[in-house]
Amino acid sequence: MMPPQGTPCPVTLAVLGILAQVGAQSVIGFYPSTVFLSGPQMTTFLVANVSSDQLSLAVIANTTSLPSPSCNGQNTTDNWLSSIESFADGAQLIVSKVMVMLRKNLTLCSDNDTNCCQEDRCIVETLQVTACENNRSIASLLIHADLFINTTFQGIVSENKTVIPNQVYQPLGPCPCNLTAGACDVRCCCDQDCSLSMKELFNGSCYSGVFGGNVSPPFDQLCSIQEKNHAPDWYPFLCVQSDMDNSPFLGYFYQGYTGIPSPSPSFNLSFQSIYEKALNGYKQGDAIFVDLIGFNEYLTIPQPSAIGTCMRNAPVAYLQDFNATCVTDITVCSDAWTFHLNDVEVKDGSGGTIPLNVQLTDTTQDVVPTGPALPQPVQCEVNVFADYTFIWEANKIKEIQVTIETANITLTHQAKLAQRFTATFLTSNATADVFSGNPGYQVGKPVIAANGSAPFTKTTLNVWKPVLDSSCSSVTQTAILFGENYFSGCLFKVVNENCTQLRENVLSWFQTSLLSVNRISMRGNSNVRDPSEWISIIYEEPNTTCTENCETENVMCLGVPSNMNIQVLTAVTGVVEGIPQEEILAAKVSFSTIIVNCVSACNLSLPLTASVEFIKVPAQPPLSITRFQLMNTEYDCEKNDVCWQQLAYPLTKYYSGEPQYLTLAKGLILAFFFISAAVLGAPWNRIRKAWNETTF
Amino acid sequence: MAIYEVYSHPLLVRYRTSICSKATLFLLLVLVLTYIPPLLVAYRSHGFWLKQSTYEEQPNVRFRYEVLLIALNSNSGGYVAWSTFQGFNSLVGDRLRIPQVSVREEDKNQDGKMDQLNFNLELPLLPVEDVYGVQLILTFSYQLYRMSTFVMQSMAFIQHTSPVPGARLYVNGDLRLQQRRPLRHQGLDNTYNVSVINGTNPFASSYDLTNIISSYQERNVTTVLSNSNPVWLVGRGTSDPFVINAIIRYPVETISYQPGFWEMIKFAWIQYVSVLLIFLWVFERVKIFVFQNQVFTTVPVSHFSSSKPHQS
Repeated sequence: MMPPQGTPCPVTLAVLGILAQVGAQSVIGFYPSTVFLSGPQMTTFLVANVSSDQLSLAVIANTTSLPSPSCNGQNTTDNWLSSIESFADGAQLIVSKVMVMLRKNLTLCSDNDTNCCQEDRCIVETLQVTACENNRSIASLLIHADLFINTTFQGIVSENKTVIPNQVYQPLGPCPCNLTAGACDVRCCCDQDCSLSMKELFNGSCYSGVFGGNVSPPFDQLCSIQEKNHAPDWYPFLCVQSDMDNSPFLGYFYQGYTGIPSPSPSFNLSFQSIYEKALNGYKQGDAIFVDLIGFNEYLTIPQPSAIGTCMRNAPVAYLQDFNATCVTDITVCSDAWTFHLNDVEVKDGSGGTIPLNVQLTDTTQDVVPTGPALPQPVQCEVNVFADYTFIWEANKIKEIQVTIETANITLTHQAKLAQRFTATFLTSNATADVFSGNPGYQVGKPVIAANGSAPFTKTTLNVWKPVLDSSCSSVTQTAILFGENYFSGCLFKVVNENCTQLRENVLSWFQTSLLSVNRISMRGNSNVRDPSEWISIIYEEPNTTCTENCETENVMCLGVPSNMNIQVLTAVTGVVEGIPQEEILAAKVSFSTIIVNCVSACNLSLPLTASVEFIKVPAQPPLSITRFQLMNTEYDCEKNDVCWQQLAYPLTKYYSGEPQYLTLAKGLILAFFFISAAVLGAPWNRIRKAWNETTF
Repeated sequence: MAIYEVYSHPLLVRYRTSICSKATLFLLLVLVLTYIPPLLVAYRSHGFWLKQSTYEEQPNVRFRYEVLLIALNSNSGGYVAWSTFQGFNSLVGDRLRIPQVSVREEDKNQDGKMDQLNFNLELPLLPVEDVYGVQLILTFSYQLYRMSTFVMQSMAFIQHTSPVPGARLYVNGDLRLQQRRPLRHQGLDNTYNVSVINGTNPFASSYDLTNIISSYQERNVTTVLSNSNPVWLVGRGTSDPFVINAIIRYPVETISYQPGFWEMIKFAWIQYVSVLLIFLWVFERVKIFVFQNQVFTTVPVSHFSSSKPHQS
């Protein structure tokens, strides 16, 4: 055990006493004259009036009494070397430098090495060094050496392979807190490198738990633990009789099994190279390539992605139309996306290449400033619209037409520039008659309308699309799509009008802006020459003149049309290859009116609205059902949980958990068991007996 | 001396009749009335057939190491992006920003199934940049085994925007299963074992978040990051990265499934028999009454009475 460092040992006290006597007489002596040594060497200085040439070392075994200095010893002992070197020669007092060194290495002995320490606390010795001159002692020095081995790793890392022991019998990491090889880890009590005396330094605060090392707390399955834990009485039959050295906590119980490494890295950024990919005709969804000196490159048109902003290098997929609007903040001309299409050679899919037929047209574009002013105005020529039309046949592209609209803009401020890019795949160049379904209407396709008489010119039935402040003067129009109910409107400016005028103005606004058609196509592919396939729109126009309570017209206007309601009756009239086909049966336009409190010298914004309603009616009028039929849901499984059809639910078509043939087979097995049980049991058995008796 | 009942035993009385007789007809009628009405009673009182049932299972979820990140670095629509899909990264062009990602999946209770994902992403930013919003897609492989083997690829979508530039987004939530229809009771169901994001595609539309979400929502079974409580932390140092900490837990799910044939039959049988017992008892009494009182003419043959003539 190491002495506590705070209290002086008896030896040091004795030396101090002697030194006090000597020091009072003269300055001759060692400085310092007593040393507590914890390292392998020390230096002290000798002050004498004569030149000393000899040192005598003596190990003091009995430290309770100090022997008188003698010059009989050598200047070396088993453990120590000493040397003396005089300087300041010629002066009255001679100063010499005295060095005492350890002969051993402060390492732990491994083999038959002698130049090493047998244990961690290598040397504990008290050494008396006497300086002699002609066998007469001049001064003496006391050294108390308490040396530990050097635990810092100083060895060479060998390149030999580490032999990993079998984990079943010897765990790979018996001491998880042993993190430094060859050195003692503080607070790691299972570290083999820590000596007993080192452990005493931190004995009270070892790392606890599994990480503290080779702990084996009794585990739940152990028989000895069961009695304490109020285990059930059958437990002794199933508990484990085991040595406490076995521990599931360090994996002693388990055979190490082979881990299969993941076949690919976790974050796998694989990518197929397209540059030398051979093309055997395009299929739908394939990327279209351009030829770049014999290598492939994607044909790119800006398209929106991720969060809706456009990406410049977006490839174009074969037979996939798109219509993209890209808005960019523009401060310099190069912020707008430009095209270099002059020498682009697109691979047509059959080995050849085709150029782009580029058509440039000029247009005008207003740029509204949205940001800070620029230092000086910039003139730019930007592409505001690019339309790619791909003419295709089978799996090759025959022709590509590109229409690019450019505009000259003057930038004074940072602005937002909208650029539009479209791609259309067509089989021929001619713009064919576009249907809204064949034959019935498809949901989401525009409702076809026409005006006049046969042959009709196809147009669409429109409703308002409010823009900006939603005033009627700026309103635009959008087509009504089949099957989608609409509502929209605009604010109509009324300036000092009388009631009849107001009604007329509002009605004429409705009629001019929305009701320019009087016929509507029954089917998506109605023949323009056949009037029977077009039905008239029924108008219910309100009166514009005052009909009743005309005296109130001085105060308020009654019956001002404000909402136009377009009702379209549709019905499923047939089925083509299992797909129901819808047809328009009738369309009616009606108005609902409001009272306007605005008679003389009044300005107001009157909200005018238009709504579209698609009403699905049965193709054949349904038979009226009686109250009994309405209440009788015995055979209607939608309305009755215990309908009679589902009495044998698992065997019916209503059950979808298993295929029908399996449920049938299982049902037959079940039926077989029941029938055989019935036949073998009473009273069939008795009847069978009676039958047999009568026949024989 | 008092007489007491020292012992008793039932007496077997046999009633004999010809096959074509009223008694036979009566017996057939009783047979039908005994066995059919319990079925009707059990069925018409609801819940006879077990049409849907539930079970609990912790899914086997593994992170697929597929990430798609979009960080809005200006409040006018500018963004930086990164994904594990090369197609997307090349589309993004100069907005690509490579983050530092660390991922760890934990099996807390050592049962062989992962319990939580610790996802940590540090997005480097220029000193002048700020992050106003984050959109992040993580994909998982999701497996259930207890009833039918159900395998799918699913995703967790994390989205948060804030008018205040942030330093860190902390998300801690559950990856819950969303079912629109019950699962099957047996067999392998890998209908949805397809990529959430088609990473082999170079096209812009396949990385459009609306397309990804809409095609994902078409599925009948999905996972959704619920109860995620996003915390937007502000105060980023100019040289610090933007950090996303996501802790995604894989909780035990209650899964509804459609029971198989035998399971349905078993539960139906329990109900049928329990009603049948009452009918059996009632009609046994009826039969005893009818035959004892000779409502229909039969020949009673008792073991006791038939042996009497021999004794006399």
